[in-house]
Amino acid sequence: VTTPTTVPRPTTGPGSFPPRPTLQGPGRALDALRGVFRGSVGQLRLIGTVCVLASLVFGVLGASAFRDRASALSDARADTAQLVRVQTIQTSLVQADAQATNGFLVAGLEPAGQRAIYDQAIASVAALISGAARAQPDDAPALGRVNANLSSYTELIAVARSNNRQGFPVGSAYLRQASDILRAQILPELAQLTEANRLRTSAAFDSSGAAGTWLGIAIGIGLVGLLAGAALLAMRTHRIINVPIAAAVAAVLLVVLVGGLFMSLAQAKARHVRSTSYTATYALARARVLAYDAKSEESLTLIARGSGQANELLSKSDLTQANTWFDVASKAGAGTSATNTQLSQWIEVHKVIRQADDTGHWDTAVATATRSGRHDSNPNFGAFAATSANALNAQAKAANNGLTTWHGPLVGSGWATLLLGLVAAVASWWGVAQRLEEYR
Amino acid sequence: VTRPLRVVIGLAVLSLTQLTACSSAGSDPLASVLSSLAAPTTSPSASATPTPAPSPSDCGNPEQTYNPLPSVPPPSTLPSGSYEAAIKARGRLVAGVSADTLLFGYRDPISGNVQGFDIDQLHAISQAIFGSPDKIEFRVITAAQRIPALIAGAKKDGIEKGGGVDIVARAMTVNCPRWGQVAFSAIYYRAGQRVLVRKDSKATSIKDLDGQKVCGPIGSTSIDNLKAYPKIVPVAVPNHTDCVALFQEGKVDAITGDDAILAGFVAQDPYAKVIGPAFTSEPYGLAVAQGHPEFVQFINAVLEQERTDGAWNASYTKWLAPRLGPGAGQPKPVYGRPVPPK
Repeated sequence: VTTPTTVPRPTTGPGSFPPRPTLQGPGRALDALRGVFRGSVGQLRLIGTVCVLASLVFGVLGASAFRDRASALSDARADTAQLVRVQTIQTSLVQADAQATNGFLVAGLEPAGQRAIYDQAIASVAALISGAARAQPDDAPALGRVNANLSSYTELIAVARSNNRQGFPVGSAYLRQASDILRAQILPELAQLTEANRLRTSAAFDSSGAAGTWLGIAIGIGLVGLLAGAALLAMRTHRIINVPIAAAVAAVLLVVLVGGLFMSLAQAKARHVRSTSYTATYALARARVLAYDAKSEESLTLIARGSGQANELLSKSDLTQANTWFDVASKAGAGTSATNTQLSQWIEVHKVIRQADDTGHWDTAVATATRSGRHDSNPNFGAFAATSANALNAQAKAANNGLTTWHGPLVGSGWATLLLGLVAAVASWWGVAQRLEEYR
Repeated sequence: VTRPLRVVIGLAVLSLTQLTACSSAGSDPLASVLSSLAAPTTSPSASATPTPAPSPSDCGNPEQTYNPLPSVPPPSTLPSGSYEAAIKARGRLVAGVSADTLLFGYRDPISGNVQGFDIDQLHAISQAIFGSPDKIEFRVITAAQRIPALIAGAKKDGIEKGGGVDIVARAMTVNCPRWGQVAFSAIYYRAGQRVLVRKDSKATSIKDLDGQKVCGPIGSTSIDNLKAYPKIVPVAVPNHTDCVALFQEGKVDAITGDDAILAGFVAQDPYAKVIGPAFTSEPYGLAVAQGHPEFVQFINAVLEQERTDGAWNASYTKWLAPRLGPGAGQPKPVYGRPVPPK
């Protein structure tokens, strides 16, 4: 069916307007385009265009799917690292606070070693905060607030110490203020950051999954376009196989086989990491924060001296939750038996301390809580802290490695897919061009 | 469709199904653990909530207490069935004290000992019960916890498990509403409420502090008495010493409290001064739970013994005289309160 060029173009939708003579320009271009695809030659051109477009869409969409998965896994890796960083800030702060509190429990001059542990913990927190703010700019505002509160906290501890040194009991009021800032402002903010990073990691894992779907769509478009083109060409030219188009299909299939394999392996690895080392990392870090808090509550219970029932209950609930997380870590494949044994040993010491305090032997309780003999609280908790830190580092490293393994192959596959998409586009056009030659 | 095409389509379909099968990175294994732990935790601070004071009842003269025993019995012959005998059987006197009120009850940061004028009264009672001054378990409580701790101590296992105490020696003013909840010994110190301000303050008495923030402890008569000055903005905190920190940080303009306690604050801050005359009278008594008037009688005998053996004077000279001057001596007791039937 031919249409005279002078006839106005058909209207395209409801509410059509009569054609205006000023719109001759675009109308003419459209008619010219229609002319290109008219007749047998035009149909061949149309087939070629479809093949080229399908190849290009395949190349671009496929490449971005690979890139998406690579960057999602790399995000998951970065988010896991940030999660560990934020939780390390929490443990270091609680540890610093436990040291400062212990310093007040021990009468007389604060032991130099204890002061050094406090200073070291605060310094490492400051470094971790700036590192974490650089690593994840989204966390920077919250970390800024943590930093501001941290300087109030350290200032109050310093005032508490200087009063204590002069024998002024007002030091204990400053210690309470510091503790309030830590527990009412800093730790809740860090807990929110932990949750934000957990959700971020979860979203990264999920978006890595979505990349598979996009690759499927890219391959679908590529194959359907090219195969439809090949079939139409075969019907029109009575030649079963067009070698260049077959080569283009082969290029797509190469991506299906090799790229699909990498994609699947990377995803299997991601799934594995998510259910093992990532879960274990999160759970161990969480358990450590809780255990450190339980240790700190031990000192606060003694500082409260007979009025610390609330602190002891918190300590108990911390330990119950910590055990839940250790179970989670263990089920996720982390070796937690040494950690559990050491935690139990500390809990035994803790019970001795509570027993002494509850039966009126506060001084004995304080001695056990602050000295560093074999049966005292500090060395037993220290052993647990070191072992659990090693377990956490091992899991964090495994998660990091697991999420890095397939990064290179995925990025490579992305570029290869883009290249193969272009090759397929050129090849399929060439294949159609061969048939077009026959009409000249 | 040709055979090679069929093969190609077959392969493609196979790969696509494989891809979609792998599209999920697994569900989040942490989410279920987190939701199981999200159950609300109980906040255990029953003993910290101040018991509302009953409406002022007429208790006669609040300073009037039960007659003392004729003399302090030797530890070996404590009356059987008495509360002091029960304390002796337990092996320690459990006392609610302040750990940060300089001069009255505070933990010396250098020696680690709890000491002060209030604490000396407890040593005298421990000496009378056990023949040793140090059989005391100190429980550090806030002003608001004084009455709840005594009430908790009167319950079964209240001392061992409920955070209760046998006695409160914590700068506690004797008054009628409190007689409705606990029992008091004879007056062992007579204080009066004043205010502490910055050294450069132009105020000369509490009347000059309208519109200013004045800090005092929750559950104390000090903060209750501020109601007589409605233009003052009261700031109530759990521990009186917290006021000193707030004062030094510039968050409150003044601290109110009993002169003797304020003297302890001035000792810790040379930029503070106490102004104006005492605008209330705050007689301090040792408090015990109701239902043990025999223990109050025992304590009163101990206070009488302190009067005769000079222990009260020695303690005053040690703790208070350097800051408060020679003073008026041990307050004169008022006895004769009828002992309630058991």
